[in-house]
Amino acid sequence: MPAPPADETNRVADDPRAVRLGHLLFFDPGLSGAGDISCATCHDPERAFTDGRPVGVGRGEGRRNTPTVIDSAHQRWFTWDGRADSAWAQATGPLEHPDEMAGSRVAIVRQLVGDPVLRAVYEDLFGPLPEVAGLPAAGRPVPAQPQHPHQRAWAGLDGDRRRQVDRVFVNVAKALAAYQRRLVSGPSAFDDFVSALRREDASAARSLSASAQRGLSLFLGRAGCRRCHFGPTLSDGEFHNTGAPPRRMADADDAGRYEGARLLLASPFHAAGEFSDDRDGARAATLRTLRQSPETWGEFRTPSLRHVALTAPYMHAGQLPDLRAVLRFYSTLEGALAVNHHGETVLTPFALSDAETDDLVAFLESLTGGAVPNAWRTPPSRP
Amino acid sequence: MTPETCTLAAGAGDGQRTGVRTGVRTWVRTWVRAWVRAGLLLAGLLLVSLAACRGGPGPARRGATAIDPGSATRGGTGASEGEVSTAFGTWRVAWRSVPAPVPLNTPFAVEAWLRPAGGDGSWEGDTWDGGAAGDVQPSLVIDAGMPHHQHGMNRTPELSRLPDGGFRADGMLFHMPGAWTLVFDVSRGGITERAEVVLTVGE
Ligand code: HEC
Ligand code: HEC
Repeated sequence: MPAPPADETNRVADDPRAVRLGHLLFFDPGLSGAGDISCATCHDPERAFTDGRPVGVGRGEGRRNTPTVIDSAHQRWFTWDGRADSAWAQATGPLEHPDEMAGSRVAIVRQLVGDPVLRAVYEDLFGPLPEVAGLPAAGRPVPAQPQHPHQRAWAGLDGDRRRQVDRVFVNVAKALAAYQRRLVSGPSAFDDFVSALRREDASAARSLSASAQRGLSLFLGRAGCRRCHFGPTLSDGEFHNTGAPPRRMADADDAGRYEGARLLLASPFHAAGEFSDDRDGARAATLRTLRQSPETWGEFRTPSLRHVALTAPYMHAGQLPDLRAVLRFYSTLEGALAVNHHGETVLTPFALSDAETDDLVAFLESLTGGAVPNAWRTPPSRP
Repeated sequence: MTPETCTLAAGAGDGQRTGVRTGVRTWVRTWVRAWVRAGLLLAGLLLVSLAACRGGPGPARRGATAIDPGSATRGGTGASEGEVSTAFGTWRVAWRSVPAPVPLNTPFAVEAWLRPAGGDGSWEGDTWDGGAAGDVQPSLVIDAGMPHHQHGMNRTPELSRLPDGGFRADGMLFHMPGAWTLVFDVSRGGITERAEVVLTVGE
């Protein structure tokens, strides 16, 4: 697997000081509204940085399954609906989301100022933190709810103050992104197989079991998986409507990419926005060509299949409990949700015997890479 | 043929195309002739190298390098330039992809030039004067989709004009391997005629 592509929108993406700050913050429940939830609560290093639940549970219960953040720096779009176009833009979401960490950017500034360790690391990298005198205890923009206490506190700040707070909030997010870039896995059995093939090495066959090799042939051939699952993460990074049946009927109205594209363009934190370090770069250019069309209703991002054996349950709402259930769905399309008459029609059912199911599972298991180094899986020491 | 030789064969086509590019800049007729010649040559080369590649390794082996975790993309295998007529034969559209061949799941651009099919063979552009006085300049919209799968691109390309009067669509993206239809809609005086090219990428 190649190194993740550079993130030009985050100038500290590869700065070791940012990695250290992000590492501290990822495990710090102090960023949450009630001081009890950190990123690692849901992205649990002992569960391949997922939570093993159908949908994420923080302050409340969310609607989407928690993806792993291992190797996530390869993503083109972040989250199931791609409403963020960088890892740092993504990180601004859970910090404040009422169902996730339910924090607020004003409280986060206060937290950094009040914690001597965080403060020192932050200021070494980004310069002095703003004065907190005159800042409310909490506050963030909640434009849809003018009476929300966070919104009222936010509206009470002048433009310069808000900008100062936003700047710190974004820097926190960029540091979290820098840490997450280090969460890369070692080679998988499949990688060994491919590099042996490249070297024309006769031992190639041995690094992948016969069953996994048969599974690979199905994956590329009759099962048609390669149409969407290809490239370093076995994902095209784009959006498709698989129609996977919802776990609860209440989730059937998840608009997926349709809403995701709208949120992305409305976000102040996208690659062309004032907080991006590469406003005229390739990511920003992509925003100009984003298609917002009803066709995208109910589409979700093709997930990476790296480590997929470790990240059950599956699909955007965790609606399928294990890999066999996923394969049963693809081969029969049973219960498929026809949410969109204009949507794409890529999937067609195909015959899959029990033995072939075993083979495909063996192949998917061969995509589990070597563990992320221990140092990154545990909270850093605090002096 | 090994994958390396396949790449080499495709590379040999590049030299031809560079020649073509200079042709575009200089001017029309020579350009057309050079272009057709190079196009044929390139297509031939690609076919030969492809046939050889196809004949090679077994399915799992070939496929493993096809989903290739070592590289984000693989080059397309369809044509990367060509000339087509619009549906009712009014216009000829000469086009090429930048880069060539069309890459899989990586943004690319398409450049195109128009000329009236029945005219004197001169190529359309800002400087075109091949029509009757007062004729409206034709416009061109470039888009693409996968008709088999009933979907378009996930991007809306940005259209612009080239200094020589040609048209350019930036931000094209063929995110899935398979057959894509490249669409050129030529409009003038309220009438739109479409030209289509089917391209296969990543297979
Ligand atoms: C309450 C559980 C929860 C918490 C806490 C949480 N996440 Fe997540 N995370 C999720 C869920 C659920 C998603 C998918 C969201 C979606 O698609 O709408 C997600 C998505 C992501 C992604 C996108 C991965 C991808 O492949 O696109 C990243 C990166 C991420 N989270 C990082 C973080 C960071 C950094 C924090 C701490 C600031 C954090 N998360 C806190 C549950 C959580
Ligand atoms: C049309 C594109 C497409 C094709 C073809 C396709 N997938 Fe998927 N795959 C997706 C999308 C999109 C999702 C997420 C769907 C959702 O959450 O609703 C997904 C989800 C998955 C998941 C769940 C991963 C996770 O982390 O939740 C697995 C496993 C999977 N696919 C394997 C396969 C296999 C095996 C095949 C071939 C039988 C296949 N896919 C064919 C697009 C595709």
